[in-house]
Amino acid sequence: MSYAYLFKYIIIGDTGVGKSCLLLQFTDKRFQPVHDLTIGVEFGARMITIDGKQIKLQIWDTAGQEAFRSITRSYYRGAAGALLVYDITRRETFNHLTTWLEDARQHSNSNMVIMLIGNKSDLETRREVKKEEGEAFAHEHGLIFMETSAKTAANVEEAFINTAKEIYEKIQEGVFDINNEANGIKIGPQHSPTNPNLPQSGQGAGQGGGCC
Amino acid sequence: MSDEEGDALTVMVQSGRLEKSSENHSSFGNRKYGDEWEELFQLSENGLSSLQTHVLSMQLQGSRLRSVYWRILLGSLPTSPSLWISILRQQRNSYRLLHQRLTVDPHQANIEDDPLSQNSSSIWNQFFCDKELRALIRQDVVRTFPNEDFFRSESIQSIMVNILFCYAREYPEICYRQGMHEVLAPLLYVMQEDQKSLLRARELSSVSDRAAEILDPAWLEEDVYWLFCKLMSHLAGSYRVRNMTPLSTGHFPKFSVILNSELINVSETELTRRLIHIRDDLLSQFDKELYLHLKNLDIPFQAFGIRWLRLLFGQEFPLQDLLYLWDAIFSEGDDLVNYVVVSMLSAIRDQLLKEDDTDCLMLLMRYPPGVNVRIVVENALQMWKPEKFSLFKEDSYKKEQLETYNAQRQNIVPVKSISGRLKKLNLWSQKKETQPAMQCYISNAPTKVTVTHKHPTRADKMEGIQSIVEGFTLNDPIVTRAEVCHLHNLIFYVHTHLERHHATLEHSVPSNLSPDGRVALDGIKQLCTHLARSLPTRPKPLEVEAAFEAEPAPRMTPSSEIRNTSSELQMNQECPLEEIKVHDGQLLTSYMPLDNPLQALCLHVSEKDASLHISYRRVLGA
Repeated sequence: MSYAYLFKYIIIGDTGVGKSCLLLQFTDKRFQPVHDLTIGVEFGARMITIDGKQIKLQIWDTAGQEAFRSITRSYYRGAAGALLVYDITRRETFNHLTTWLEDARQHSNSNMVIMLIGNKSDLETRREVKKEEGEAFAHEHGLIFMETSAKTAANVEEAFINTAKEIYEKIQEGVFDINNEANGIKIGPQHSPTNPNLPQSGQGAGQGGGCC
Repeated sequence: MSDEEGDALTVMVQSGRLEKSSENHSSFGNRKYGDEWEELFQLSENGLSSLQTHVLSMQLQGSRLRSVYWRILLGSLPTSPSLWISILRQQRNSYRLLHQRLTVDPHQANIEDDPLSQNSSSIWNQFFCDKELRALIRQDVVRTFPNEDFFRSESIQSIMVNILFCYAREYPEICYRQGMHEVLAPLLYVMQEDQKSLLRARELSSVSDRAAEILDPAWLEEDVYWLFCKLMSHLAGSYRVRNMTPLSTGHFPKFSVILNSELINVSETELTRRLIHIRDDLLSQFDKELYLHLKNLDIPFQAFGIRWLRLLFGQEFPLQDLLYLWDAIFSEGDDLVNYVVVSMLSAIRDQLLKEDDTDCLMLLMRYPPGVNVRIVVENALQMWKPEKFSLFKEDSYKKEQLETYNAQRQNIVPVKSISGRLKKLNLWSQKKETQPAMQCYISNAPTKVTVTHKHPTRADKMEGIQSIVEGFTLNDPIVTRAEVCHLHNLIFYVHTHLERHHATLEHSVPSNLSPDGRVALDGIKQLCTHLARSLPTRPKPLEVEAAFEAEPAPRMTPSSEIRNTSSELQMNQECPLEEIKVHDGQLLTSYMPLDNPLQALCLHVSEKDASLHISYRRVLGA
């Protein structure tokens, strides 16, 4: 199927926070209570529509264990969006966010859009991290924030789509150099490969842009 | 199985019906178990190469001694059978000591030690590190093969945690890393199955002391540990990351520390080097077209290759297939693994060549379930050592692979999560189908019948084997009907029980039930409605063969869990078989308890004493 743009995402966060379940819910609309452990990476893809345009999302879902970090890092570079996930019922997964974020910022392109996700919002009774804390963290680090439940599907669509909207807006503003695939964005085959103005001006703005 | 037996089976199969004499069957079962041991002793005496030949010809499919073969092939036991017992005793003892040594409780230790000490030699410090390490391991272990009941058992999980913990402490530079639990899982499964087979065989007749000691269930954890260590000695390279050594908690040094040590460029690990070698040296040599295609699409081999190699293909094949693949790998050694990767790519080349990058990745990340593992292995062997393994011509391989693949594609969407898992589930339980009592397949089927574990002859291959399950081709309408029928029963069963449980809950919950609880209850009710709505019209019942009944099962009510009945049945499979009359042929109900759809699990009530009988029976052709 043809598409206007292809965005590459990466999903990161501690083991067991529900990264693969979020992906499965988004791509297959299913929930699997116990998911196979991700070894290395998993991959998923789905088409969405933004502003009347077909956008293909290619999503790399990474393993949580530190032993895989060196692998995870190689996926940052080509990603336009990242979902940084923690588990609202496990405080330590929230505490590790700073490390993840440093890692992401260090290895990605500076325009990568990062969405912070507090997953497992269906387990209200076991909650250990308040929603306000997630919001505060996101605000402090310039991230978008959402609480989701891969189980009930609450906010899952929104999380992936809002991230795409943000990337799309940045493209419109010329922040991304869409001709450089290392930014995690590819123009679809149906589109004329170059709009002579966009890429150049994009690069210029990109340098000053920074992330949020 | 010897060729003679194979032929005998074929004859029986061709006569259209299984020999019914119960005597024949039980004696067949007994003789075979002792024979299996005799054969193993003999082969082992003759040296490794005769073992290898035996293993490569698929002789371990259905074997009840696979774990012993594996121990010899991996070097955990020597080839000389006379040494086995003494070495086993030694190993078992030394694991017990190791386990003891590693589980020191500082509360009991008679040493002055500060609980808050960070000193690495402090017992208290070690105690807390160990606790963290165990928690880290357990977190993954509970997720082992999510769909398999075997791994949900707490005792199995704690055996896994113990083994992985001891390994981590013994090999601190590798420690514990994600994926190791999935390497351990099949070993544990196979060993435990073999031990169960021994117990069953012993109920029927005497088993030699040596056999009984080698497969003594009391030593499950100990024996699996040593097998695991041996296997890990081959796989360690796939887990190692340069300059990265975990702490004794199992965690890795903090990110900032790592940054300082030139780790940024460390994508260059042993594993990635190996994958590059596979791609650039092997794939390019054996399949230039595919190599160029994947290169043009810029498909990163690490994306799928890391998992393939770390788990030794554990997530890519259904268990029964995986075990065969492991037979071959354990027999031939590490070098074969690289060729298996090439062969797996080659097996789906026609698909890959058609697809764009996303779909190629999808195929590789969720390897399609229809691929024939036997062909993957044969092809890998041929590429690796063509002079030694030139049994089959390449073009016949390709033709057959294509046929198999196309035949299966009609039924199977290449998505691991749904169909892959279902298939995995079916094949998982194939082990019990290949038990002696189940070894022959009758030929009311419209298509060619085969004895699945007999090594195919060249002639078989030339005729182009389609995928055959129990004498039916996979795309046979009967198979589909059987599946529909069983699914109907399953939905029906689930619906009835869910409704009953719901009613019970409704009556017994307190009036001040929490909102969450209420939502859950309503959810159950809603599910009942959905199920009732999606219940298809009851299909015509399947015809099943008149059964050889197992001993009447202990009294059970029909509402007992499916799981129980199914395990009950497994226990009974090798009991003396006794034919009893089915109450005017009436079949009360049939289920598919996570099992082969072509075997109906039949329940019926005896006319005499109203006791409940359970049996597996084969679905007959139309």
